[in-house]
Amino acid sequence: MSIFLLKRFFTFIVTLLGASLLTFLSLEILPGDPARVILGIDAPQSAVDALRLQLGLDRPMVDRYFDWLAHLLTGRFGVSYTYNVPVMDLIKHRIGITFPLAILSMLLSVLVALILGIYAASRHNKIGDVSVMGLSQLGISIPNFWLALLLILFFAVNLGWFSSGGFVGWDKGFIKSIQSLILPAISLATVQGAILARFTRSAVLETMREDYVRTARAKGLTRRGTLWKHVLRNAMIPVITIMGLQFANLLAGTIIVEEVFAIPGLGRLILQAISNRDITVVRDVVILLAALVVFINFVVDVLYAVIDPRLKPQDV
Amino acid sequence: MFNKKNIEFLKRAIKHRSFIVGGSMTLLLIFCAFISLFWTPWDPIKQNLLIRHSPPSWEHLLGTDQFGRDIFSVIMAGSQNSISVGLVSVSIGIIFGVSIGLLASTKRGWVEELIMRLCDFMYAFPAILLAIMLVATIGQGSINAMVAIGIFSIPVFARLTRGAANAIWAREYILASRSAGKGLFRITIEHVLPNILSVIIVQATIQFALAILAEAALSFLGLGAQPPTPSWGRMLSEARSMIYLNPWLAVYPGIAIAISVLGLNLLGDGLRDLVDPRLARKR
Amino acid sequence: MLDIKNLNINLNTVYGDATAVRNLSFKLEKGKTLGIVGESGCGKSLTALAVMGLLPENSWSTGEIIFNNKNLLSLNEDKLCKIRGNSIGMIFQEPMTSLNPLHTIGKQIAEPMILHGKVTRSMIKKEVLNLLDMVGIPDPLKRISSFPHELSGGQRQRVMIAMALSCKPEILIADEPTTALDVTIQKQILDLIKDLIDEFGMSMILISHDLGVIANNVQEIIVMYGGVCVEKGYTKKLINNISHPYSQGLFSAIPTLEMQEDSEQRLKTIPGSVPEITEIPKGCTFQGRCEYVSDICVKNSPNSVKISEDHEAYCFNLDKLN
Ligand SMILES: Nc1ncnc2c1ncn2[C@@H]1O[C@H](COP(=O)(O)OP(=O)(O)OP(=O)(O)O)[C@@H](O)[C@H]1O
Ligand SMILES: [Mg+2]
Repeated sequence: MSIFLLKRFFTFIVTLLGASLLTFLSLEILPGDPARVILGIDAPQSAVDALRLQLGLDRPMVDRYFDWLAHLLTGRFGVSYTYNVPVMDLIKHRIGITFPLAILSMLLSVLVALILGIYAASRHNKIGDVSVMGLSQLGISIPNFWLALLLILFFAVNLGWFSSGGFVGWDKGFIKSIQSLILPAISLATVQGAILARFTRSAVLETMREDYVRTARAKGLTRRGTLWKHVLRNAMIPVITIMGLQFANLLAGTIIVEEVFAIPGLGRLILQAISNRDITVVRDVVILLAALVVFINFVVDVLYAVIDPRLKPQDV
Repeated sequence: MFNKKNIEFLKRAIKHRSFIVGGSMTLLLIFCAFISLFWTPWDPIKQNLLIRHSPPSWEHLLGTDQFGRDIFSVIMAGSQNSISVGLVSVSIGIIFGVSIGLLASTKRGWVEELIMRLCDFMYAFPAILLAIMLVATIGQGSINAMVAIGIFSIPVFARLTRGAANAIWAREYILASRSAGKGLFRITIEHVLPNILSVIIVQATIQFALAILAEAALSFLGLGAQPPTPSWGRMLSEARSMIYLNPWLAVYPGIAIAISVLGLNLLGDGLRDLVDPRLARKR
Repeated sequence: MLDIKNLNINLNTVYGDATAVRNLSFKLEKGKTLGIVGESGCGKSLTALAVMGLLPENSWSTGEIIFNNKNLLSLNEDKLCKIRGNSIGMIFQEPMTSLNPLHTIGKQIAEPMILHGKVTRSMIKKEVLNLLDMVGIPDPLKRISSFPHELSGGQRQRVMIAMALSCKPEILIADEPTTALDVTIQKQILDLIKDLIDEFGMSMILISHDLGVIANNVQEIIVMYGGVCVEKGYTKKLINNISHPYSQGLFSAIPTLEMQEDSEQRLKTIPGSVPEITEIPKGCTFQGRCEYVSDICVKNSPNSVKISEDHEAYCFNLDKLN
């Protein structure tokens, strides 16, 4: 394996550890006794003590952190206090909704962004460019949950084309399921797509100014030929980085959009767990999402090495 | 103040479309917030259940909500919340982020490396997720939301500052003043900081917009501003249950958010164009 | 074969419109070589790009560029694409950045030949290997699948040459092909270009800011200053009787071996610097730095003065000078 990938893998591991520490600590700073908070002021002290024991809160923080890590590594998640079921069971169903939602909106935003971004760049400073840029400026400024409300208002309330929320379940068929995910996906994809389109445009424009693009033109390639054969691949290198970062935002965005559309995914699970103070669930779901994000960024780095020969293993 | 360079800048600024449009929209936002401190057409908090859900009229420009409050007045008052969130969180971001960035660029070596790796880490982590967790644990409310949002803009400013400062440090006259025996701290204050100010201001404008968006999201989830403080995000959240009854409730606050964010973004873009060294440099 | 008449290149800059190249005319016959020399920023590259039809977006040109009886400036993009790389090849100033970092050397050299239908698919590899060998790249079989970052600057320039010559163009434009390279490699590259030009019987426009390089490698010279031609002529005649004050300055700025030993005798440089293109004065462009400047130089642009057969200069004060 090349030095580059090795380094990236190391970063991947360190970032995961950092994420776990951050998650753990931010839940530790909960003021007061978590068991007391969970059970409420009026609960008898004996019940609180029992819960402390059940949650393992009587042990030192460091021990608990490493315990948690060890459990995570062996795939044993905790047990939800409020639902009284293993967190794994809670996650299993929901990830099958949240993940497809994130992927669907990622696909949508990438597709639209690349087309618009490349189109705008190829029409630099012409009317097509200006209108795409104006549109994307608008897209960036709209909060995704508001867009979600507007979509519900228009497509569900007024036109009645889609249901205003909920998820039918994969057992009702692929088409139906995707249909109930399409509005949430659009509201998530719009902002990310607008950002990505602007970024793609400037990456393409920047690449078009490179010397090797002029060389390609001097060979006799047409503008379009140069764009496809020389500009795009080079321009994709920075664009892919942004895509990786955007995936993090998309996953986070599912929390709010799932809430608006009442989709029973991981995002809603977190919100409910937070309001129930169900620390085990919050902690495990957050670290799962974080791991997913970090993993995607690792994949992006590997993709880099595939695209860019400068990062390929040097022959020794 | 009115030397040739500044006049030149103003001349270009007046001709810059997105700067002017964005600037005006931002001024409108500030103006709204300022006026609403003293006056709104109706009391934005007092409920009047007799006139619930009344349609737009001369009396109530945008109609009334489910508690009979004048929507226009509530939106006006809501701008205060958005502006204060922006101000506080951007200030937190600038104070800590710029200091950290300057530290990294002055110290170099492992300090810089460590700081930058930490920033990378924060970048890769979904900020809003952590903000939600943070607010949920330290308790919901405007102040906590501001702090949480501010914390996540620290790495943005730190990175930006370090990059810009490194470029300044590489300049010759800095070397000259170093060899003249000036201390690192003094050079940083006298030469580096003034030179990177414009970049920071541009970023601050953009972060301001992002903060408004983030706060609206937190308030929408019930983690930000608490009733009865008027807040655009919470208005939208309350409008959800009225979506069949009074759909317009879900429209106006969003427009207010979009206008503010759009204005700030345009202003930031315009400013960036105007201070961009690539344009200012003589060819 | 190439006949440039009254070429003007205008630029739209942040500081307003400007004319970067003014009333430039010259002819290049088949099999002949021509050099354009002048300081940085005098419009050499723009002239070359105008011939290629590859001027930057914020510029436009007027006049005529006649190539094989066709005015290139009035041809449409499709026709120009058939000429570029096929009948006119170009080598650029910056070998480090002029190759696509993501494509192999072989692919980039093969591209123009495939594009202009010069070789069949099956012959491509052999042809590329030939070219690599011809430009003196060792171990072509291995290098054909190398990426640009694995090559040195000199080798990359050799690859550029192979690319520009792959379709055996009638004209090669070499825009400062050696400026970015080590002094030791400069001569190798120039010799290589010269040999190949002779071998294929091509014409060449060589661009440089170094009058020495130009004088040693071409048959005819154009000296440019501030976007205009100030002196032109056959190399031998011009070098033996350098007439324009600017050309004289350029000539005395060429370092010689004796000078380097004697540190007291510094290179004579022309005082002042090239004016910004937005600030080029009326009248003679060189007035600001010329020691012989007089009223007329400020008022009018000098006309061509014939110094001998095939040698002319644009100056009012030629008689004072000698
Ligand atoms: N795209 C552009 N926009 C604005 N000005 C430009 C542009 N391209 C070139 N110029 C200006 O036009 C003038 C001539 O440029 P040109 O590249 O032809 O110079 P040159 O003689 O090739 O110089 P060098 O030796 O540095 O390559 C310069 O002053 C340059 O700054
Ligand atoms: Mg040049």
